Amino acid sequence: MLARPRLAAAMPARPASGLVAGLSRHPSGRWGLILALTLGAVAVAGPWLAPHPPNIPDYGAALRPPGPGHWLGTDATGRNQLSRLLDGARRSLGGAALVAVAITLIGLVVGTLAALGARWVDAVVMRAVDVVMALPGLILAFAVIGLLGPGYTNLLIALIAADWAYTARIARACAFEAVRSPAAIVARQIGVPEWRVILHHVLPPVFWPLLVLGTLGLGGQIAAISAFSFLGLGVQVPHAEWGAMLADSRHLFTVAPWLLLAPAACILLSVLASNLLGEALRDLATPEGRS
Amino acid sequence: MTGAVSRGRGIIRALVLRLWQAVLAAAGASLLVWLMLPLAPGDPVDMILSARRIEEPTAEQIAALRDRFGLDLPFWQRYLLWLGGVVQGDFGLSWRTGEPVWDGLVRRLPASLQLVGLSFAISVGWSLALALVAARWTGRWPDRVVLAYTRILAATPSFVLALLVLQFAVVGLGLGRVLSGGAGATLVLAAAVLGIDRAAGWTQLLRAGLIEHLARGPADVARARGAGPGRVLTVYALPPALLPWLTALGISLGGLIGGAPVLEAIFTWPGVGQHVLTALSVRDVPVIQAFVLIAVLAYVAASLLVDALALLIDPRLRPEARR
Amino acid sequence: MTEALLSVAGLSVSYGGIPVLRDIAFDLAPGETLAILGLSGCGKSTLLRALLGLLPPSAHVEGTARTASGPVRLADRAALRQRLGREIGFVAQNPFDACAPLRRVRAHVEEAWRAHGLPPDAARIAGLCAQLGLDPATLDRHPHEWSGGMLQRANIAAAVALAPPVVLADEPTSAVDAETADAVMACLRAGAPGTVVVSHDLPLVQRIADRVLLIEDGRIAAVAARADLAADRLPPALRAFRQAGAVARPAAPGGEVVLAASGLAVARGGLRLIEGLDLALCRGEVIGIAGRSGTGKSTLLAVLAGALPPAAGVIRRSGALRPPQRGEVLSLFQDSLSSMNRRWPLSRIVAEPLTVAPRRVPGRARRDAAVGALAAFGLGHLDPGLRPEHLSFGQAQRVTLARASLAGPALVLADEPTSALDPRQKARALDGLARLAEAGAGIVLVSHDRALLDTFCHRTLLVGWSGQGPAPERSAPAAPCRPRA
Repeated sequence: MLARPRLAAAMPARPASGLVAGLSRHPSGRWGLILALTLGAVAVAGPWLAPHPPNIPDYGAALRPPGPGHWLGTDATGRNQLSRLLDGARRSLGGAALVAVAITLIGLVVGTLAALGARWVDAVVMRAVDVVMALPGLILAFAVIGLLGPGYTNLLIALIAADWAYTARIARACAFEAVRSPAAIVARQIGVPEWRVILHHVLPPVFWPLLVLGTLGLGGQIAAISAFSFLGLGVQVPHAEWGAMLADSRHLFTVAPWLLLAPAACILLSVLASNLLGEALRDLATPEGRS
Repeated sequence: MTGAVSRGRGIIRALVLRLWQAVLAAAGASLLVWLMLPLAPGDPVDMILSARRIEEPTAEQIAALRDRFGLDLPFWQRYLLWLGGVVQGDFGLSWRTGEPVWDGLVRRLPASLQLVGLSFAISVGWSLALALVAARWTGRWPDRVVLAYTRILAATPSFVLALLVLQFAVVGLGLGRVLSGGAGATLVLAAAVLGIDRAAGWTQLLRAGLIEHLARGPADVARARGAGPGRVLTVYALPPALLPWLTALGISLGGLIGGAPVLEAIFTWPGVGQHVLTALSVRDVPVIQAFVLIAVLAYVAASLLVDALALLIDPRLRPEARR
Repeated sequence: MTEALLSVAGLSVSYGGIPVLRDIAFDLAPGETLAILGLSGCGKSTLLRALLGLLPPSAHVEGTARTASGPVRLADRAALRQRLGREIGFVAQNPFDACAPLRRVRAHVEEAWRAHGLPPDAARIAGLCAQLGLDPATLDRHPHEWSGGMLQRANIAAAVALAPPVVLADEPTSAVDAETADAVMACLRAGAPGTVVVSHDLPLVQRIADRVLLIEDGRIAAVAARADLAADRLPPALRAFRQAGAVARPAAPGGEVVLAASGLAVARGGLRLIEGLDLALCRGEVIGIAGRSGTGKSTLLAVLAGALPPAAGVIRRSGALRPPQRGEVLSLFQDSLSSMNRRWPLSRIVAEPLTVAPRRVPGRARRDAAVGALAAFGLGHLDPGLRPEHLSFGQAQRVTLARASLAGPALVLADEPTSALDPRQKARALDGLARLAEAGAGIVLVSHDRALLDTFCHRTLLVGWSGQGPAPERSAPAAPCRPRA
């Protein structure tokens, strides 16, 4: 959870054209892409696919095993598990995506400004990043939740607070190198205006490593959202979330094992998809990975 | 020549510098933790009252609390008072129970340290073994098995793995009697789950490092001298690959500390974690602050240790070595 | 004839059915230095790696090598390994890349014994140190504390430690300063009865080899004995090889002075590296800058480019005291790929100068101009939609030259633009550089390759040391520059 993936020190970037083609040729990227697209589609279309209302109990139908009518069974209060999984996907996956996008944007802006700005700006920003990074991500998330109180929104804020600094540091390192790269030097010598040098020669080499980092981090965010919700610190009753569903049903294992296995499988597949996709993007972004 | 002496001095100087940086980081982190308080919505008195589940407080109760927790003092004074106490091991009083925070934590700390320490050891040994096997037979079946195994485990959050293990192995296969047999068995099982789950990412990292260094010049030259694959792997690929791996170990020790409360909750292990989770759910700020600060200190100490190890392994990092 | 020290027969290597080496056979006589010559990608490195059992498992290797203890199939890695170090020594190209940075140099030498599970022989190591001019005390330091030339000697000591009859060396002097290269080569040839040297450097080969094998396209294209290596008696294939690397000096310079420096001093980190430099560069002129690494050549280029202020002195550009105007100065880099936007197609990279006033032209005209410039620099066969990752080093350098031609700079600053290239690529890149000079650019060319500077430049400046007598280990910071005829 919130483990920080290692990046190759100098990571050249890959043209956007042919990204999907590149991923579908990559052995693990192909599976990552298929899994991610499927899960994403399910999360978006969840409310229309759900056969039953996810939060309304039906005590007459409690603990039904998987079968016709309830394809993945029902929980202790008779709620349809498939509907709850579909509803939960929006919180587990959507929340993780939101956190990853926010972290990437914050990291991009902070890191690039530090690299492009005056020396003192760079120094101040990077010392702040150092201090935040002295706190391990999960601990920082615990602290933020402890101060803001449990809840889904607070959880997302906590996860963003926990992970933005590392992204900012990577962005700053890449931007710092790109600003001084021979490509940027030559463009300036030719007379290309500085805003275009930044747009063409600085931002792209920063963006690609951040995309890889964000994708690899997505799995950690999914795991963290479900872990905090499992502990009752994230999504609150009666709303469905995969981790919270595990917490609800863990003591029912002997009578209703499907209540444990289905959410666990959802979490595992989502994290796997994000890891596979991230690894493939990392390979595509480095020269050795292209052949 | 005084080479050895100056070399020793260089190492000491580098370590002192890192120590100083670590103290700064810890001080910065403590300020950060404390600064979060005004960001928290609500009056601290209300938070204390709700932590104690007092719903209709009298004016005297409020005044007494304000006085007892020093809430009328200026903000920076409260920070200095708190920090002054912390340096002496006094983390203040729990908002929920009113007992000293330090007493509540220190009682449970040994159990948590046992869990984190044992799982760390399991994790280090397991990932080292798997990565060496994978790199020795790169691209062949042992490597593929290890790779598939680490992919699946890296995608399984430790609490999910813990739940599955607990339900299948313990409840399902009737190993429950083993667990009820004693704390030792619970500890080993919890530490194994946490350690084995952590080991997946570390294995991937170390395997990649080993394969990278197996393809580099020094490994090739050793092969050209007639060295066998085992020697090339352990003497030429392992030491340089250990450097980034050690750094990652230091970083993810923070994750291990952070992941422990979840596992303690699942295995009902009487560590700090459960205590902190209760504090989190009622926003008992002094307890949370103390936990965060202790975790940060442990983390900073771990990264110091990693840096010292790296200095021992890599002569190029020693300051006097730069020409 | 006495028995050969090494005889290779029927050596073929292929990857997935695609042959890389075809039916190579040669003998190495006692006392002989055999050179294996060829351009990048001809298969000479594969040949060496096949003899050392270093090819990846995906390589299909055929053929046998006969060493002191009899013949061995090269595909039989386990049997071959028993002979490595004992009967075949190896010296790698870059000594810093060959030594494990975490281990002391002594451990690197002792690997010769330890690889075979033998105890290291301290007396033998001491003897080798004396023979190769190494200070035994320095063996306990780590590689990064050594100089390249000395470390390469330690490498040789490790290669000959078990007294193998044959030593194989992969361009053993290309990563070493030119001034110490000859001493290293002498050590190498003294170390073992027979030596095989792989190289793409014909002048070096002419100096040291008793016999030359020219490899082209995975086959032996020519064999020449020492007597035939004299310049006027080269066999046709070798003459063609030399011709491919021939460099022509640009036409005589003339016209206005684009760059005039007087009393220039250059400093890095407070240390004055170059002082009292006077320099005048005309349009069409090429001035070479020579000197050992670390003498401030690259810093000097940064100062001439206007990116760094000089520590003292003045720089006039086209007669005026001012910073460079847009498009006036253009830099060329050793790693030309890093000076291109890797996400752009070649046409966009080359035409970037045409996106800025006053050279600005509309998109279609830009693309046409880029195609024309690529063709002018011998790259007309490339798809302009290609991205830089698909270029060879030589092609990449010529793409940057094509871009420079569209920028029309008055001053080109080239930092080791050819040092990663083989002779043919190098000749083509220099041809492009000459084209820029003929179009009116003054060129400053920094290189450690003295032969190149002597044949290509109109004048060469030596920076860092006076050039008299043996080169000092470190340059005196305040030594003056002096123009050469």
